[in-house]
Amino acid sequence: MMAILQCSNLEKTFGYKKALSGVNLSFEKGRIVGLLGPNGSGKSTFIKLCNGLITPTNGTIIIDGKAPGIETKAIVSYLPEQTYLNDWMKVSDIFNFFDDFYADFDIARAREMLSSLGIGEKERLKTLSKGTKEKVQLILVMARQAKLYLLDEPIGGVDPAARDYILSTIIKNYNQDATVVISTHLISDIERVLDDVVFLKNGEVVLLSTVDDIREGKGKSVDALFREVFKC
Amino acid sequence: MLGKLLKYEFKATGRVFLPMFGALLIISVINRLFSNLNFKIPSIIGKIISIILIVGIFALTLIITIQRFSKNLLGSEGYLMFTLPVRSDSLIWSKLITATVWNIVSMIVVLTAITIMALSDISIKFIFKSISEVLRFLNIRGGDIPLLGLETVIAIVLSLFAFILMLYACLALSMLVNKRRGLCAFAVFVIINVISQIITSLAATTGVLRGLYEYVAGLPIPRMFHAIFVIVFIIELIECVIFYVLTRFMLTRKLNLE
Repeated sequence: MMAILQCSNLEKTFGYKKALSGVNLSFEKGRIVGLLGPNGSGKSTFIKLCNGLITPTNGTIIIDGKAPGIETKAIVSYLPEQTYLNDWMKVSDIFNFFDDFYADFDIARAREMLSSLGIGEKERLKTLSKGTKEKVQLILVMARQAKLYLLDEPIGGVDPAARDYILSTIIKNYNQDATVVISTHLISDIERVLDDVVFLKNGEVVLLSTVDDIREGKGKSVDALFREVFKC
Repeated sequence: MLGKLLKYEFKATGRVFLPMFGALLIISVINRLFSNLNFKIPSIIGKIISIILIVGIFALTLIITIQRFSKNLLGSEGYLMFTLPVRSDSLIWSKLITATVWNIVSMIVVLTAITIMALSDISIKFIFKSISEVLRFLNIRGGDIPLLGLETVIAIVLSLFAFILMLYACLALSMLVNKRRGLCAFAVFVIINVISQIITSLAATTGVLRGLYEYVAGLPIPRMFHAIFVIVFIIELIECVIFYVLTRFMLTRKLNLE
């Protein structure tokens, strides 16, 4: 089967600082992949490269057979770390915005998720709390029928109760052919949903494995292995 | 996709501009009534308010031109805008076209407001009379008035394009630093203007332009105007291309969102 995302010898430097080096990864379709590593290990850099927000210093990224560009942006659904919502739209306006620009946006499903979270469609984005903004953004991202979801710290800023909701939203809403990449350092919360894990350390891949192999082969939870590998 | 981007760009900016324009036009009509009825004090207050509004509109136009680029593209909103399935060119053009339209509409609204308020004044009558005199003079000399009008419009649009693209280039170049980007953009703005001053004065003193100047000055009146317009077009176009290419390069190759 062809990989949805493939990168070879990927390298990104900012000035003299190496953010990523020699990264070779290949993600299959229909998997939930955890991109795990401490702060500053290159997780966000990797995701930004996949979104074409920055360009690689060396190496290549291929998403669904193409380099990052307009065509890949149409099939990649990206949740950035920070909120990108503007301050002049209502929730309904940003839904229409997504409906206008993304052919795969399912506005009915977005409305459904919104009402199940008890957020009003007429509410102004400006007046939403930080947590609610993150929920709206997650709805926007998950209501797309994308082929690849790139979620950068989707549970970083919300309380544990909301974390469970977000994870179940992710599991419920992605279709079986799609791949979900979740970057985080909160592993115990997310471990149960993952199929594969990638450990990033100082911009290099130190481990690439399925969760089953870690559990069965090493007899450890991913969280325990993470603590071992990244021991300070 | 450019059409969709333009739709949202006009929505985002129109909600700020339209109330300001409406307020200025209403105040102008009220002022006109006050001065017709010879209400001294209210008329002075009304004039002060309209002057504040006029200055406000020009300031607002500049601020929004800058802000729609820096905040929507280079700030956190950029994470959404640059992951839309649209070309960077479409993003730049949507901002440029919208900003140019609002700059022109602002000028028209302010001129209309002044005309409404000062219609009875001798000065405004004198201005209208002078304009018609100039047109009559050009007509007698065989000037093509519609063509000259068109050239004027093109010159205005091109110079607005060049100015706005210069602002965009300054803002985009500020992505090269990680702190104090506003200050950096302003510094780049100053540097660009100093460089263009140097180029202009070098061209004037080294005689590169003297031949051209003498040629143009020797032309009969209507043709001289056309020649001046063509020179203006070429200069503005060169500026547009330089600043566009610079902005595009920064947005596609050196994007560094906050």
